[in-house]
Amino acid sequence: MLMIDVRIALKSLKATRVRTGLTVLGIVIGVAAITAVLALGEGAKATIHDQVRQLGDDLLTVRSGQGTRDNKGNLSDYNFWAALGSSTITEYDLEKIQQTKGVKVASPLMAITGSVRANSNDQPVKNTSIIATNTNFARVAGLKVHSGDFLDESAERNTVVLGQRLAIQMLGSDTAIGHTVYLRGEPFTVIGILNEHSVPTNLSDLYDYNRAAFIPMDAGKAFNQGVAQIQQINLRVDSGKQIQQTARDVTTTVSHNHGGEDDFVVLRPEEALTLTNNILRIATQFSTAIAAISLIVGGVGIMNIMLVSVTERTREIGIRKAVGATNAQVLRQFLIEALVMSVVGGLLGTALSYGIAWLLGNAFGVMPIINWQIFGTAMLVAIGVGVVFGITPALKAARKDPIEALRQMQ
Amino acid sequence: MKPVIELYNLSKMFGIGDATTVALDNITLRIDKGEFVCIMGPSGSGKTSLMNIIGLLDAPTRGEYYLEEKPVAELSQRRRAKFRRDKIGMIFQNFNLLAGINVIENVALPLTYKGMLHTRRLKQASKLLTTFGLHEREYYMPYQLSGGQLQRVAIARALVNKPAIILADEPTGNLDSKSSEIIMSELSEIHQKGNTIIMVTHNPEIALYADRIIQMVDGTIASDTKEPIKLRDPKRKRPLNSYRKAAEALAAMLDRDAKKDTKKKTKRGKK
Repeated sequence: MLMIDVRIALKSLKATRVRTGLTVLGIVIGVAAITAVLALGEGAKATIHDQVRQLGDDLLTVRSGQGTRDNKGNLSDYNFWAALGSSTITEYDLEKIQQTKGVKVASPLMAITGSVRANSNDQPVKNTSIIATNTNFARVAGLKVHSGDFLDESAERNTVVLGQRLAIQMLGSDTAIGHTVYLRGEPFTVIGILNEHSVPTNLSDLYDYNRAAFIPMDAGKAFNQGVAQIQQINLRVDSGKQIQQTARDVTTTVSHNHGGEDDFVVLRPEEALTLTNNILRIATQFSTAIAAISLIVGGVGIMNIMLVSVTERTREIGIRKAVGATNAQVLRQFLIEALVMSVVGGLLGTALSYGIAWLLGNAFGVMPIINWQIFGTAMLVAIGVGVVFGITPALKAARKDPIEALRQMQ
Repeated sequence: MKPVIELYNLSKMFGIGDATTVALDNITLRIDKGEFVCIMGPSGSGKTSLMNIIGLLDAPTRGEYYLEEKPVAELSQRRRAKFRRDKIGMIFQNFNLLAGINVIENVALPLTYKGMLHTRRLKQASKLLTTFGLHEREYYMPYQLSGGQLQRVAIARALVNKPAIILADEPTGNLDSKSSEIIMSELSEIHQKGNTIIMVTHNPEIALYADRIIQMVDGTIASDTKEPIKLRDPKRKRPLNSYRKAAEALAAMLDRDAKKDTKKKTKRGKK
């Protein structure tokens, strides 16, 4: 019976090709907009996961803030706003963590606000970060030195290692070892320049290592009245398989240092990206909501055309009823017509969205991903639109009085 | 003979209060299986209202209606539609074919609503169209056919479900005399095969094909006669003499019957 209805619907739609085509176009645009946003969101998520994978499965981050874990040890709630407050991580924590069983290497990250200048009279360089850390940082974060050396134990206090882009922008060269630059007005000697770091997402969400200046902890403390204000400690464990156990051990160690106060979290790489993921999710949801408006407009188009169609085809409805169509059959016929338009629109829209997402993705550096979930969502939404906006005209058709309908043609 | 249609004290009113119009006034009528009934009468006499009620497109205000001895008064919308589909074949003055689909699909339309499979219903429709000599026109669109051909397609559609009654509302109203004759001989043939036909017409020549003529005036049955048979050549099922003479004879006969009926009613009224 359904096939018969679909056949009737297709026949009726074919009779008004241009009108049907334009109505379908409304749905195509709506579905394409939603699907493109979802596909880009999915693509961005995949890119981040890919980068996390590149960071390795043996990485842990200790950060201040509050988090709760469920029975399986997964982070169920992480108050990332707390992490923006004054940090509770200390140098003593770093020392103890380095001594914890299973920890291979650990390094602090202390971000310092301040100007970076090539000469003391220059304008400060924009969009840079000053990061105070120790010699282990390059190993933990996977940074490679392009020329010179990274910070080491023997490094003088006022030495600096520059990210490649910062070095090129500021000094015009990525081999400018021995130059003097000014951080917060103090002269620092460049002892090393890093390779381009290919993982834009790093464990400290907010800092771009390619545009950072790395200085020893002592220098960092000197900028902060001699106090180490450590935002986070990054560490690598001996074995990725033991990461859960090591994470627990590190938690115990730090908790002991903090007198049992729950003011820090130990995060696995994907958890360290909670902030990024949250922002991404909110952005995707917001964009989807905006895109949904265009789909509603498409739905109104279907309703409008179907209402016109019902009025125009009063005679047809009368004939169909006279030869024995029930109200339900007439309802089904018109509803299926609306559904055919919305489903075809959904299919075409999904196809189109891939093109749109690909173009946008090229602009933003994210490859769109359309998986079955997104395809399913798009189709379900399209079908939903067909039903919601098709039901009123279909009911109107079904309720037509056959005598009135037959009389109208005379 | 078994009754196909029985109407008891049937009335139909339109409008409410002072604006009420009586379309059918207390009609009692029985039509047996195999009858070819013609309903005549001036405009506004209630012919179409009666057809609509018999065709289950409309419900009476009062009275009872039995179709094949089953009461239809309390049928649900859905059951009424099914009765229309299975028991009634309708033929209209303006053919009422769907313009957007071809001839064979039009004929197969009632079968569609029965849920019959595509190939089966096309086969059945094709068989029927062949008997009407329209086999070669099966895949034509309605606008490619002449009026007479269209009406034959409509008749085929009315017959495709093998209905108990065929209702024809002015089937020749839009046709020239030659096409009319063809259509009427088709209907006669269908009738001879045992179908029950109820036809509305203004045209006395056409009415002569029926074997019972009911004349309606102001929503009542003014006369009901089975005499037209006498005016016909029993073998050829066509008017005995010329159409005109036959029609004149019929008109005179109907007039006489109507007067008789009115007298009866007046007498009854006096009593």
